[in-house]
Amino acid sequence: MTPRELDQAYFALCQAMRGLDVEEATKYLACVGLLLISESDDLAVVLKTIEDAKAAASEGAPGGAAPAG
Amino acid sequence: MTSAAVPRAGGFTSPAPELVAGRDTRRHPAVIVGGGPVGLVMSLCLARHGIASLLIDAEDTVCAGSRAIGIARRSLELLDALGVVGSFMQKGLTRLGSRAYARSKELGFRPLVHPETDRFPPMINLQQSYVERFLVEALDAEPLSTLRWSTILTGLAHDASGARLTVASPHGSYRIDAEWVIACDGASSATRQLLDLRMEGSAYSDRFLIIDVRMPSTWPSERRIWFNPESNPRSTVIMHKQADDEWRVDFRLPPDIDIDAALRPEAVAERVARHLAFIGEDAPWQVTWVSTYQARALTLPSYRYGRVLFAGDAAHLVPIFGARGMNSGFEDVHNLGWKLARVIRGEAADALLDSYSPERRSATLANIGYASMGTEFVAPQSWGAEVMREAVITLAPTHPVLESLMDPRTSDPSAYPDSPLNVRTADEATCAGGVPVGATMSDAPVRVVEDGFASDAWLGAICRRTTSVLVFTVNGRVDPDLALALAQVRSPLVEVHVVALGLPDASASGRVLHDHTGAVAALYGAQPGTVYVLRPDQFVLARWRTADRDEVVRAVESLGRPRAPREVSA
Repeated sequence: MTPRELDQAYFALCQAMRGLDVEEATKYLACVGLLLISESDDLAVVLKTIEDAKAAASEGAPGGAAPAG
Repeated sequence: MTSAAVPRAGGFTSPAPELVAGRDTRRHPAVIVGGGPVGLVMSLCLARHGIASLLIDAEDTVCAGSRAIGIARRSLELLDALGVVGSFMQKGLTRLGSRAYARSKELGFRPLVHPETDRFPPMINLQQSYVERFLVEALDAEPLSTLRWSTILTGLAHDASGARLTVASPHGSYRIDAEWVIACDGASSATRQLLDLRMEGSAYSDRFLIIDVRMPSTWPSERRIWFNPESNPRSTVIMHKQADDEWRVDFRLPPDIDIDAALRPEAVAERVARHLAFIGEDAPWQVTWVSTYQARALTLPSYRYGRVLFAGDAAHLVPIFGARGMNSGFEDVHNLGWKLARVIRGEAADALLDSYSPERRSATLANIGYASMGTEFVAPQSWGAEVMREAVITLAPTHPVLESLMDPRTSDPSAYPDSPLNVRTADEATCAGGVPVGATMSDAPVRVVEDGFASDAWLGAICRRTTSVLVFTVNGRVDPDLALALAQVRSPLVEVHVVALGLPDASASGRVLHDHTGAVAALYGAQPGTVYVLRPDQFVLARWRTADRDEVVRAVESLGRPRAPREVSA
């Protein structure tokens, strides 16, 4: 994906999430994640992505990973 | 609605044992504790291998209710090898697939495919009460099997020389001496408790209400699952059709529910009535059996403790979703039967039994993994898992690639890629495709050609009970050097089967299995010169693209040698 395409995808996601409450946004992101996973042909990359995203989401959260540095 | 208890077959009685001074006069080669499906099949397995066994059971009847209703293809093959599958196929219903719903909306149907190269369907539904009844009937006709009902294990000691059991029975308390004890006494195993053994693993907090309902209905034999149906909001409901118009209905219960209140007949009836009305069933019905269930994923750290071997739920508890409980118990005793028979007859060293635990424990861990995923989908264990399931349910109708996530992850045959028995050879790496070492053999149709006559058969029905050597040829003529080596290993423990990939040569001697459909060559990746050695439980022990005769002989003999002089034929 080129930087321009990444831009497009990112802002499409922002646009789609506009106006959603927490419950809707959570379900929406779960759907996005599932569909992207099902399109991938590399399980190792998927598992690494899941792990990285979990670490990022936990940063600063109670019980989460300590901030880097 | 009415409620009716189904009368159980049984009230079994046993002849009085021969006792002298409070002791059974016989020393039994094998004593099986527990007369559930796994113990009964254990007794049949030993009998088919020529070993006498004594089975004791605390009850005097078969179980009530549906319990373990899914019998997988692999189990049907095993029951066929024991010569008892006919009654199961006659009474059982072939499961056609799985249909899922979210609330009242249908999400899709996933068929269970039955390829032409398989003798049996992927799964049949049959109440466990019938399973036990058919097995007891088979054992009653088996002179090598003795069943003693109403006999409770109260004490057990064992050492290198054997085991001593103490039992309480209508004939009083007495002692039984045995060479080996096989504990098949279920989730609450008395054997396990007497040896002070603990299982490892985890339990799920969710409880399920399991109800058998007798009701005429034309709905086919599908697994139907409703997520969050209007009839039982926040629940999951699963329905299966069984024999005799009996339906098995599982309800996931809310975590805060009063179980005793949920089990009251009027509460059970009301819950069932709501669901049947919701799905449009209006025929008269009656509840025939009720139970509760809590999923557990537990295993003993080993399945062998000296002279005591554990099988089935006594060894491991696997969540029911995916039908891996009873089916894995059948695989346990099929694994154990031939090994124990060879050790008891002195044909193999005691060490052969050491392979039982690592092989079956690895199968348990795989089963627990799959069954736990199934359980997590039926009963999400966290808010996050609930959200993900909701995403799958929402997307599946428009994205078929996600439908498999709603599958029950049904029982499939075990594999032992890391078995200590496996024979690895340098040549194995040259085998393209086919059935790998440690996997279960693939079944396929063959044409048996012998003395000018031909008849159709199944490879899986031919290669059973003994070690089998499959020799693949162009036309049934085997390389003379290999033929000589195979003639030397042929014995009551070893059968050699010559497979002709093309038309058998009329001058080929003996019996030839003609691969008339090409299925065998395709499934085994076989070419002329390929050799497979199969264990008596139909797992691939070794294989060669181009056989080395000395390696073949060593592989065959690694599983034991007959004690009597071998019959050598040219």
